[in-house]
Amino acid sequence: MPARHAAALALLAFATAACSHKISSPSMAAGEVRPDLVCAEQLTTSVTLTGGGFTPMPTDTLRSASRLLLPSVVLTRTRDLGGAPTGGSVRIPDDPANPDASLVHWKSSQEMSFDVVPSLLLAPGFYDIRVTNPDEKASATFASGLAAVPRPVLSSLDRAAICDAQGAQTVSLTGTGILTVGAAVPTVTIGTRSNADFSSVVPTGCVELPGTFAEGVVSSCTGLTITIPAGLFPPGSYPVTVANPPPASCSSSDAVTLQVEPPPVVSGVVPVTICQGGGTLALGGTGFLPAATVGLFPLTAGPPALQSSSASVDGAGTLLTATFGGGAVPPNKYDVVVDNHDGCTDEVPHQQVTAVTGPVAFFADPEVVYDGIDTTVTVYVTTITGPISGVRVEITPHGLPTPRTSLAPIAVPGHPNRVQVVIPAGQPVGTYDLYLDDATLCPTILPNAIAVTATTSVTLKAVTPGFGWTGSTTAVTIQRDTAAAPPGDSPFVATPRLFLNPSGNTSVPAIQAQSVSYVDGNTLTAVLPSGQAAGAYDLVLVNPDGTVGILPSAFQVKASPPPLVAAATPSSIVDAAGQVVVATGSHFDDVAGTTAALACRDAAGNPVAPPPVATGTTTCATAQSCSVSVAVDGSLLPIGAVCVLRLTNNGDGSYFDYSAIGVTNPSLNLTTPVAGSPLTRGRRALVAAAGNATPASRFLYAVGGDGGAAAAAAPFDDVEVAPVDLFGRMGTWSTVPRSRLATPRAFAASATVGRYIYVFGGTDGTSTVGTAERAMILDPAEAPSLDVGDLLPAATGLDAGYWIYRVSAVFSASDLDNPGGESLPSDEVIVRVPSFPGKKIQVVLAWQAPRDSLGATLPGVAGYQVYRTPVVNGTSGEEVLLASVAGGATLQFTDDGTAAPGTQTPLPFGSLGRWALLPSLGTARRAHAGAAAFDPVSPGKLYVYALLGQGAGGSPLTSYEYLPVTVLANGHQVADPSWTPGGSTVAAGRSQLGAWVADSVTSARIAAPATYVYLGGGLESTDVDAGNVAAGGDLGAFVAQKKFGGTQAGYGVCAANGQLFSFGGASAAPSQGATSASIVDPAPTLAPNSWNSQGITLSSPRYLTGSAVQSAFIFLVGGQTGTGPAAGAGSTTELVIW
Amino acid sequence: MRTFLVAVALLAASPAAAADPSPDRGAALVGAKVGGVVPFSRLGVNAAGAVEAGWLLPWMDRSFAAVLEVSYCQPTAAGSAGDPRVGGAAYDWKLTQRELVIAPTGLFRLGGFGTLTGLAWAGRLVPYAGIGPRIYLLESRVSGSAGGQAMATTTEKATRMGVGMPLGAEYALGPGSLTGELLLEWGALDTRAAGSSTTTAGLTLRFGYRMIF
Repeated sequence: MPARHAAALALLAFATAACSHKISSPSMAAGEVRPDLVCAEQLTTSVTLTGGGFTPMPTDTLRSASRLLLPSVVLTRTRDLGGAPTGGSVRIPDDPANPDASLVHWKSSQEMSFDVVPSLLLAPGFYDIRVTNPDEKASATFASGLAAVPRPVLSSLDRAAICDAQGAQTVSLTGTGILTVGAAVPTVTIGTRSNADFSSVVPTGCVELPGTFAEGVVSSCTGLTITIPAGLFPPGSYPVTVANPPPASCSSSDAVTLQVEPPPVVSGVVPVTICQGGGTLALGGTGFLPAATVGLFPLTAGPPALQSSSASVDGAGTLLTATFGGGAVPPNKYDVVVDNHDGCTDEVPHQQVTAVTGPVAFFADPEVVYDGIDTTVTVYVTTITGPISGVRVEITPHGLPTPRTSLAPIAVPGHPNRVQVVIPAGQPVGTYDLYLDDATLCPTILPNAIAVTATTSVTLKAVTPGFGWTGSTTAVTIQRDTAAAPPGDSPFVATPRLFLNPSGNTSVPAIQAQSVSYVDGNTLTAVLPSGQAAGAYDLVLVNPDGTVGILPSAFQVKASPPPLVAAATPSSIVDAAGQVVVATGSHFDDVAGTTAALACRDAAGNPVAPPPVATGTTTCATAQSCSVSVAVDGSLLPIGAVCVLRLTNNGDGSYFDYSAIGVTNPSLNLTTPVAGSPLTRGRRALVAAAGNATPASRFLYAVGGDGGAAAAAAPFDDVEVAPVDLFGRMGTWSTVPRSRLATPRAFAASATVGRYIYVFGGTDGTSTVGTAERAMILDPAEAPSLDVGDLLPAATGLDAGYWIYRVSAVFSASDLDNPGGESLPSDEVIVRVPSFPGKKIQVVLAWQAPRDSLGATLPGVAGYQVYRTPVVNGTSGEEVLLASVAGGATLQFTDDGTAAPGTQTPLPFGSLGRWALLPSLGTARRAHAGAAAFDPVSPGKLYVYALLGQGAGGSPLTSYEYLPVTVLANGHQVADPSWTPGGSTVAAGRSQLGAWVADSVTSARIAAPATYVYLGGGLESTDVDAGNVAAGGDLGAFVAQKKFGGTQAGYGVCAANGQLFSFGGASAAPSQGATSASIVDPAPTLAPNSWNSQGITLSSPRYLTGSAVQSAFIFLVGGQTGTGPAAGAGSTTELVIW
Repeated sequence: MRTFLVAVALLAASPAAAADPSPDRGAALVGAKVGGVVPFSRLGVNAAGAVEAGWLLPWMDRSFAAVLEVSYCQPTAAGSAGDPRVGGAAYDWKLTQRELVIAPTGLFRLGGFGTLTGLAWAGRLVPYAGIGPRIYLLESRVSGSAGGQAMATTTEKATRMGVGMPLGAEYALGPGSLTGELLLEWGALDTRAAGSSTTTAGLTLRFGYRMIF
């Protein structure tokens, strides 16, 4: 290395070394902190730290004046008093150049101290204390060594004033930062008195501060309850302060004062009477406080005491005006007692008033109204004297004499003790007292009668359906928009009121919906009354909590009935263009026309795009007989799809959804069956039936049958039902309540016409029977119409709250349709039972008898069943039988609360009436076929056929018989008194056969009005015969048709699209195949290739199965499983679309 | 570490001098001195000692020398002051200032002093003067007491640069020479314990013995 390089390196080393500097001192250790709790806001607290290694450092020793550096002290806030992490630090001031101002002190290497002073502005919380020697290396931390708390802050006293003249008084202070330290409580000073003078001082709302304190447990409280002994304070005003215990002994500095008042003195009362329905009393005297109330206490035991609903005191405290609601009982006398609510009442002897007779208003319904509409409110009064026109009704803001809003009284026909008033739109929001004055001139006051609200925080989504006919009630479902953002996301609250208000018109009272049923916070159901003017209506929902929802133009009332599609022909189309379906029904709009649309789903139930549809000309011979052709491009639909046809009247937009139209291939083959929901138990040789409770409510029934070969001796008498949706999907099966066959039977035959299911013949387990019976699918329209007749205050009655009622009719044992049975219940009626001082409320129910579709009262009503929720504030659907009312003419029931709720529940939708006995067959038959066909000449006449089967001895029968039935104008059916033997026989008797009914709707080869009944092969023969329904019902001479290809028995049947289908039963055993036969010219000829396989496989092998057809749906239900003596019965079901 | 670096620098410089090809390669010198220092600050008078090693350069009849000197002294100071933050409202303090100095110095030695003066005895006398930087390795140890409680010692270490100017003479005696020297030195002390703007300046009188090989 050259010398010059070495020299440069040396210089660099020197320069580097010249910059070095370090200081060191002994290591430090942290010990204790005393005190560890301070209140920095008001106090200077010296905090002592003990430990080791605290080392001051003399500095500037060689200068003129040396200085002493002390270890530094830094407080770091780590948590707030609640324990939540936080931040911030404070260095304790210490300037060696100005030691007099320093807050840090050194005593020895083991002890230092620092002062916590208000100027530090320490925020409340827990602090780490870090001490660092002047070398800035040696340090120690006292973790959470110090807690700083704020001063106590007083916010209020719970009582503005007290009066301790008559007893000890308790007052509660509220505030923050009120501490307890160990066993020490804060010191409360009121005036010159403090804790020792009080009976007790109890901290409240205390929360223990986290951590460990040398002083013990420390809690921060939000209140103090002080008990002041009687007579401690003379009347006056006293300041109140609170001082926390040491070491954080800060004091409150808030202006809180305790007012001590003398007892009130009542010198007189005007008037000296109080009406039964309430009134206003003016009391003169001294010492009335603004919070004073007045009580009326009867001089004799019995009547309830009354409290003023509102009271006002003049500024001098010498005049008290008190208003009372109803409840005073004439002719009792009452002490008038003023309570200042400061611990004192006026002294005895009290002034007195006497109760006098008058009306009592006890309920206003609804209690909450929306200020955006005119709302009709019904006021319930015990009695109203004089004409309604003489009644004066006013409302005032609660507790105030003015402003008064006069309301015109409206009489309620049939209810002399009620009056209706209209709360006008625009009434200011608030709670109102209602005043009613009648001819007695003794007014009644209903405090807090009505609340007017404007809080529109419920967002409504839809009303379904969105229209109804003015001529009938409309059941609707209301849904809330659950995606609505706050503040529009308030839910429904049980139970809202619903109103229909003409859109854009607040000049007429809104229409209140009936039977509002709270399903959940998002869904309601309700019934909209009939008779409303046609037009658009806004839906207004008012929750009991005062929140409101509005859906503009939510509902359309139509002047004309909506369309009703009774049938669509054909019920299935092929997957090709140019398909035409003819819809027939009633009330189609033949002036503005109709528009058809399809909503379709594929075989798996997935939605598919709707096909193009062209609607033809709508024609109506009468309003009840309309038709329209609908051209459908089926090429876009998959085979097996199901479409719901919506037909809309163009004139008013009302529509009907018809279920359903199936989609098949050009060969009209059936689609792959789809398994349905299982029966509640296995059944074979049963009857299956499909029917509607209403045009839109479809049900499938399984009747009787037995449990298999081994259980053949004990056939069933019960019935199961499953709902069916628009696309043919079955719901869950359940047993139909209170509707059992009169005779348990299997191997019976059946026919379903309209709402009637006919069952006849079969075996009761021991022998072949000839009995016949029928049941009717109950129509919800044929139920009583329930309303609230009255609400009566009485000694016994119901508790205040919501009660839900339903009423059903009970028919006499001789009723032809439902002997001894029960109708479906009425819609729910929800009654808000008000409270009444000293009494309960009896609910008087009134109803109308059930009526048929023509509006005529149903005959045969023998009484009624009243259902009610068993407890107050129950929920919809919990109703149980409360009482049975005898007599069809009895249309009223008073629920006085004494009847014990039972367990029976109303019949559910889809229920059947009781089975009614029909004339017995002329010949007992089993395993026979059943069919029904209309008379070709008389439209109101139909015939139920019992075809072939086995006789009592087991031999196959070649005969048939039929029961004439008359269809009344209201849709009800009346059977003739006897079965008529058929005029001819078939060549080969047979059992376990099927029968098909084909007419011009079934096949274009059949000319109307001809109807043919085909008899398929059976157990003993493969013959197929056809008979033509003649006027009067006879089938004439049977014509032999193409025979079955082999033995087939116990199969399901369906006639549709010009074909006859059979399902299962091949070789009289469970099988999964299906066959068909085509009707060719001339009818009833079957094509030579008939009974070929359909090429489909049932989801389950079937034999002795039940089958039912409804529009495009074929339902196969149950059947035998296995063969031989051990053969069982299956519970499977399936759906085939044709 | 800093001491080590200085040593490395000196060792690195030595081979360069040894590699001089001139016939007179100079000569080495070593020596030791003791004496007393009079600080110019409030530090008290204190004894001081030093050792030196160097090389007489061959030029100009060996009139120049490069010398590295290491010296040490430990002056002290004490005092008291009032302070309300401590017990008794006053405290005593004591500062012990340790100074280890490394001083590379260039010397000019005036040979032939006897010939110049014509004095026979002066022929044994070689005056010299020098100048060079001084590296102060300082350690301030400060402690105190207040209210009867001792304050532990705080130690402060620092390295500072300064300058020194020796003026002296050698008098040949025996195998070497006696030396007498007056050293004027200045350097910044400037520690927290001593205070800012304080110095290590002082005047040192010392005597020793130097040998040349």
